[in-house]
Formats: sequence, C-alpha cells, structure tokens
Amino acid sequence: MTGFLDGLLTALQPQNLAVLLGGSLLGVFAGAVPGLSSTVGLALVLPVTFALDPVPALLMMISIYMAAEYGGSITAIAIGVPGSSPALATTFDGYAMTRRGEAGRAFGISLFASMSGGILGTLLLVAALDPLSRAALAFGPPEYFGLGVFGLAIVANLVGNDPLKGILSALLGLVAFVVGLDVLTGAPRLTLGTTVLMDGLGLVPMLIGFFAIAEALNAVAGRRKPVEAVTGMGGALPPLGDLLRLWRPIFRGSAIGGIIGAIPGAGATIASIVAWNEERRLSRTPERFGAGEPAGIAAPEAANNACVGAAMIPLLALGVPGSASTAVLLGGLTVQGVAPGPLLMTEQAPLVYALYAGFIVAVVFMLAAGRLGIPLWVRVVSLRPQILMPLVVAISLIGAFVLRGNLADAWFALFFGLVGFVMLRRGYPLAPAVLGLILGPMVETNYRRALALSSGSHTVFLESPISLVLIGLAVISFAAPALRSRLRLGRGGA
Amino acid sequence: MLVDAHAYPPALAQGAPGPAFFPRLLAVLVIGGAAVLAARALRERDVATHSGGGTVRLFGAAAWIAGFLLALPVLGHLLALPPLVAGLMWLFGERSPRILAGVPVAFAGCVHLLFAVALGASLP
Amino acid sequence: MARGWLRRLAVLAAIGSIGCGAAPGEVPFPSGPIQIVSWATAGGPSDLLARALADAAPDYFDGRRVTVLTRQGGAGAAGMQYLKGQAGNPHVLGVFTASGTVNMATGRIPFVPEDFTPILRIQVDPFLIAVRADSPFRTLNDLFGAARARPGEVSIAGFGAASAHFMGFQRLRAAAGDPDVRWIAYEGSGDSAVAALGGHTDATHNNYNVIREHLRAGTMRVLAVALPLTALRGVPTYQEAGYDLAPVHWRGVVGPPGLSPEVRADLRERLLATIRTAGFQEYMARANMEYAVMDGPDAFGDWIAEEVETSRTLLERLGLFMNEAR
Repeated sequence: MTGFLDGLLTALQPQNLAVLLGGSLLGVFAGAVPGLSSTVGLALVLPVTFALDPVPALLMMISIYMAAEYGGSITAIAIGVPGSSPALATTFDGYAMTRRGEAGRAFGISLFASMSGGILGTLLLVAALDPLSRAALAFGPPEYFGLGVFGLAIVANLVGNDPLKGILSALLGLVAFVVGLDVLTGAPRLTLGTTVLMDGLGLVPMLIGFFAIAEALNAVAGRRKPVEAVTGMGGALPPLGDLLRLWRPIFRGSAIGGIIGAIPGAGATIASIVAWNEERRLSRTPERFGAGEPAGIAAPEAANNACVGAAMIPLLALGVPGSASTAVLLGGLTVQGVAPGPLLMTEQAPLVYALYAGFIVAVVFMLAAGRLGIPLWVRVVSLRPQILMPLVVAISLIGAFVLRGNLADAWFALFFGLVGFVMLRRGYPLAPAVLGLILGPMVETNYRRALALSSGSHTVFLESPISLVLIGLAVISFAAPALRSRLRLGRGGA
Repeated sequence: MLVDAHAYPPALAQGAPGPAFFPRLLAVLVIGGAAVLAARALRERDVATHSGGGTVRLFGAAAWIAGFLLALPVLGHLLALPPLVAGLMWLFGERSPRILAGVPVAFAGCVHLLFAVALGASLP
Repeated sequence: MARGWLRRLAVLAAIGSIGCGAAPGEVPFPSGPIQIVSWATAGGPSDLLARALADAAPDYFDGRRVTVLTRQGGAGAAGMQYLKGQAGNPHVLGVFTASGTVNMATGRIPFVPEDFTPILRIQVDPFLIAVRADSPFRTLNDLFGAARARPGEVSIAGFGAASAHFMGFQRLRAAAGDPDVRWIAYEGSGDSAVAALGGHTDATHNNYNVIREHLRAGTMRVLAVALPLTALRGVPTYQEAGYDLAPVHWRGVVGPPGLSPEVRADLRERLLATIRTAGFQEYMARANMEYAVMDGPDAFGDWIAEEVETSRTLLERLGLFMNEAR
C-alpha cells in the first residue's frame, strides 16, 4: 500500500501531471480520428519519450493508450464510424442512439463506462498480475482456436434479418484476411503477385471503407438519407443515476475485457465485441440491442478500457507484448532501459507503482478531457451532413495513410468503400465481415499450428478444457438464435 | 456477389496443401452460399432498380476520391485536400460558395497543423 | 513533395556554393534534412535503431534535422521502393536488416542488393536456442538427438516462416544433419518465447534481448548461442556445440542506389561518429545489442550479397523457392 501511495505521489508531480494531461488529450484525439489508434498515437510520440525520464515516458505512453481506447467511441457514437477498431461494437448501439436524438446520453454512458472499465482493468492488473500471466501462458494453439471460433459465432447475432447474407458477409471478411503472407509458411496468398497486398488488406482500411466511405457513397447516391442532421439533442448528459443503473453491464464488460485483454494476441476489439454479445445474450430484450440500447454501449466501452490494464499483464509479467500498442510501449521501455519481465516487480517496484497510479490519474484526465469535449462532439454531430461527411471521408483517408505511411492503405479503404456500398445496397450487414477479418487469423493459424504440434490429431481441441468450453459456447451461441426463433414460431403457431 | 464468388476459386486454389486448406474451405462455403442465394433469387425475381442521378453522383464521388489519392503524392496534402473536400461537399449538395471555399481550406490547414506540425507524422 | 523540396534546396545550395568558391557542380553535403526510412514495425528493434540514429546523428550531419520516415507495407517493399526511388540522393537512408536479404532470396520482394548502396553494418543480434527451465534438454545435442529418436515430435517456435529466424534455424539444422525438428512459426519473437514458456513447444529460436529477463529470473535456459555474448558466459556457442556456423540477425544502414564512393565514404564516416556517441552507446546497451561494425569500403556490401546467396541456396535445398514478386 505504501508502495502505491509513493507511486501516486510520483504520478502527481507537476511534470508527470503535465505529461499525463498531454497524453490524455493526444490519446482522445488519436482514438477519435478514424485511422489513428492507440498504436499510431504511441508510435508518433515514441521519439518524444526518448527525451524524457523513464517514469514520465511511461506515463505519457499509458495515458495515450488509455485515452485512445475511449476516444474511439466518440466517432463511433457521433457518426457511426469506429474511431479505432475497439469501438466497432460501440457503433451498433451508440450511433443508433445518436440517430434517435440521444447523442448526449450516449456520450455520457460511453465516458462513464470507459472510466469504470479503465479503473477496473487497472485494479485487475494490480491484483491478478501473477495468476493472469500464468493463465496467458496456458493459452496455446487449441485455446486460441477455441476463442476464435467462439468469437466467430457472434456473427449469428449480427446477421440482421437474413442469416445467409450475414454468413456471406463473414465469409467475405475471412477471404479478405487470407490476402497476404501466410504466417506458418511465409507463402504469399491471393496477393496477385504484387508486394502491395503482401501484408494484407488490413483492418483499419476495412473499417474506414465500410463505415466512412461506404456510408458517404450511399448518402451521395441519395437513395437513403441516414445522415439527416440530428436536431434537438442538446448536450444533455445522463444523470448519475442513469449511469449507475448500468453497473452490471459495466462490470461484466470489464471482466470480459480484463480476461481477454490479458491473453496475448486477442485484444480489445475482440473483447468489446464479445462483451456486447454477452450483454445481448443475457438481456431479457435482446432485440433492443443494435437499436440504441444503453447497455450495448456500456459493456463494450468498459471492456475496451479494461483491456488497457489487462494488456499490461503479459507485458509486465512476461516481457512480451500482447498487442500492437504494447509492442510500441515495449520499444519505448527498452530505450528507457526498463526491461519488463518476471523480475520487474522486485527490481523496479517504484516504477511499477507509479505505473499503477499513473493509470488511475490517466483515467481521471481522460474523464475530464472527455467531459469537456462532449459539448463539442454534440456540435459536430449537429453539423449539416453536406459538410460533416466530406470532412469525415477526408480525415479518414489521411488517417489511413498515417497508419503505416503507405498510400496503399487509403486505396484499400476506397476499395472497401465500394464493396461496402454494394453490400449496404443489397442488404448485407457489414459487421460480420469485420469480425471475419479480425478472427480469421486466430482461427486458421492456430488450427493449423495445433495440428502441426499434434501431428494431425484433432483430439487436441477436445483435450484442452478451455478450448472445449469455448467451442461448446460457440455452438450454443450459433444455434441459440435459430432455436429461439423456432420456439417463438412454434408458440405463435399454437 | 455471384460474380465475385465465381472469381474466387481459381485464385484460391493455388499454394501448398497447408496454406491452401483454409482458402479452399472458404471457396466451397462461398460457392455454396452463392448457390443458395442464386436459387432464392430465381424464386423471387429480385427487381433491383438503379436511379440514374444517384449512380452518376456515386461514381463521381468514388472517382473524385481516387483522383485525390493519385494527386496526393504529387501535390502534397495541403494542395490536394481542399479540392477533395470541396468536391465532395458539392456532390453532397452544398452550394454556398462561402462554405465551399472556406471549410476545405480551413480543414487542410487544421490537418497540416495537427498531423504534420504537432505530431510530426510524415504526410506527403 | 519532400523530394521536390530536397531537389530545390539542393539546387539552391549548389548555386550558393559556386558563389562560395566550391568546385562547380559539386553539391556540398548535407544540403537539407536527412531522412531515415523505417519499414519495420513501430517500436521493434529495427525501428528503434532508426530512431536512435536519428537522435544521435544531427551533430555529425552539420546540425541538420534527421527524421525517421515510416513507410511500412509489402514486407518492407514499400519503404525499399521509396529508398530506391531516391537514386543519387545521399539525404535519404534506410535501415536494412537480415530480413531484407531473406526476402530478396525468397523472391518475395522485387529487389536485389544492387538496388541499394551499402554503407555501414552496425549491430548483430545473434540467434540462440532456449528452452523452459524444466525442459529435459540440456544441450543442443539433446534436442537434436531427441528429434532423431522421435522424428517430428520435437517442436521449436520461431518468428515467421521463410524469415531470418527460420533461415538461421534451418542452417543450424542442416549442419546437424537435418534432424526432423518441427518449426512452428509465430507472429513475433515474443510470441515464440511465450510458446516455449507455456510448454506448447519444446524450444524457441530467439534473440537474447527478447528472453533476457526470463534467463535472469531462471524461468528459461539457453542451450546454445550463435556468437559468444558477454552476458551469456558459460553458454556454449554453436561452434563449441559442434556446429561450425554463426547465424545472426544484423542491422545496418544503406543508401539509395547511385552514390559515388566518395559520398559513401563520407556517409560512413558521419555514421561511424554517430554510433560512437554516448547516447547511441546507451541505446545499444539498453537494447542489448552487440556492436558489429563493418566499415570497410566493400565489407557490408559483400556481407549482404553473401547472406542473400546463403539464403537462396538453403531455400533451394528446402524446396521453398517463392514466386517472383512484381
């Protein structure tokens, strides 16, 4: 405890406070701009951290990381474009609330849930560093395969009215993932012999293409007008009581984020979609999810911020980055001469405590930056679509470029924009394709890896209890909607 | 979608057994899905109509974005962004000359300040 | 855009220099900011090298700004294309690594060593083979012996396939008479260390800096390392274990094609001074990298050509030649 208090005192030193504040503002910005993410934000400040001492450098990076996970929800709620991929699930209900004229309330819920998730994730990091790092080690290829299948089964709840179209959309995402170098053999697949496609089509171009460009093209073509200027929403924040009533989805979302976040390679996007799906499954009114259900914002937003603390677990305990963002963080730590790993807690306790405290302070700054920003976001939402949409498209294209400094990503975004436009017009849901692209690698690579290790025997998937449970849950989750509708039909007929 | 599905299999079939397994599985599933879709379409005779003006605006917008991406490396972001934004605004139906001129230029300035100056990102 | 500016600056500087009495037609270097192109993952070892260089270099480049230009994609091809397109411009440099030569050998990327001007190899990062502390394997021969006794049942995790790590291991395996050790490719070095730590594979092919903390904590052991490292005193080298080779990961600086020998020598001197600064040395120590400077006029170029050739021969032997990329 004294260690933590010392850490808090360190974090509260003026220089560190300034660094945390700057990091939080930059993080919200990086999160909110489509194309930029916590990873890009961290990569951009990496050279700046070289000039700082270890503690402020670390604090700057974690505040960016934390705030960016929240920032993504701003764009998701305001215009239906996930500002960064972990905010994908937030678009489902967040944007629906905005279109209903409740943007202020949606912003409030997202901020409160992000804050709670951030704090709960940090507490988990403090309390369960050791057990969760051991759990992360237990995750081998069969377990990852199980998790991937479990995630893919969520497609069943995202398909909309026409299951076949939903499944085809997911297949499209899986096909898109195949493009690029195969991890296990290094062989190029579907690259058409070019280097441009070698690193794949990428999640960010797909998100930008589907949610920013396709929507804009759809609006331009003028059949549907989803972007009527939303009026009469004001900056009305929800009362605290309204927020506290959401404690259950927030806790569940944080728990899911905390566990999935601690598994290297799984990440916040998967965690937030799983959180959304679980909340829908547990709800007595699942049909309200996707149509502006507050719990549908609270759970994924709590989950993706809980992931920040949890993602530090493999980094701090094992010295291994579990995500692209923590990989940049590790680079920054390396330059500072801080080597995370099993000995960090014993050798560099003050630094670790400063990190814990820094997370809490970063959450507070994130809250302040978010709260002050809400009136601004609400005004952005009420901009006329003729002005707003071109700006969204332009900044998304710039964001796509900054991601890797590669113009190809902006072209991919345009490609996905056209594909997404056709899909929208034909009534294909877009989210399953994104899920396919995210989970395809986890499913395929680990399926083949597991079989390579077991010499081709499929029983490995059944021998691992984790994998067995996850696959079982996947089957239930996939079959449940069909069963439920059959039951309902049966009752209706009787 | 159907045309798409027909285009996949030959490309997907390449590669050694390991890496080809998953793409082949996908190809089978996509073809299966497309077949069901085709059967359904035959049953219901999907009548999809395209409105003329919308299509022109659609391709106009897509071509305008493509033009921007081509121009970006040559002109740089400060010169390429304003026409992109102004053109899209015009396609969206904005006609006020003040807004068509002012917003895009202000936007390009903001992008330059935020990305290139403040964050040090290397924009073309 | 940047290129146009550089050209214009170069022309202006040239005009200025004539006035100052320099030899006509000769542009003094540097006449503008320096760019170091990084095509590696942000925060990864190559990217850190680029940034450490950018941090220490300005003093030796007449105080010019030195920036890192991120150009990722296409297994490095995007950045290499950019660098290659800067022919004759000494203001643009790139960090070139073992991965680049392997990708050239596989034909994944459409480049040959002659597309760049080798300037200076800076560091090596020797490969090593490590196991979890409780592994039954004590030596490299234990591992290979087990693989000979039970073909295909011994697995080793490593970063990528047909990658620099993969080549490093295959070279060792070939020297051991091709025992059937199964290579399980992972997305990164860290992931492959976790695979061994979690007991999912029998061993990991890795680098010292990735597993250092686990060695210190006693959760992992090194069976053998390609080159002697001061930090790994007592651990046999591949040579001491009976395999006469030393596959390493290495990183250095190359320039665009078409730099004259004088310009190359000038760049080499400036970079040598850069990597001798206290700041750069501190980075090397913290990142656990070994200096392995190749500063002879042709040494680095010969090394690159040799590495491509070694990889190509090995790939042919393994039957793994890739399609030529466009």
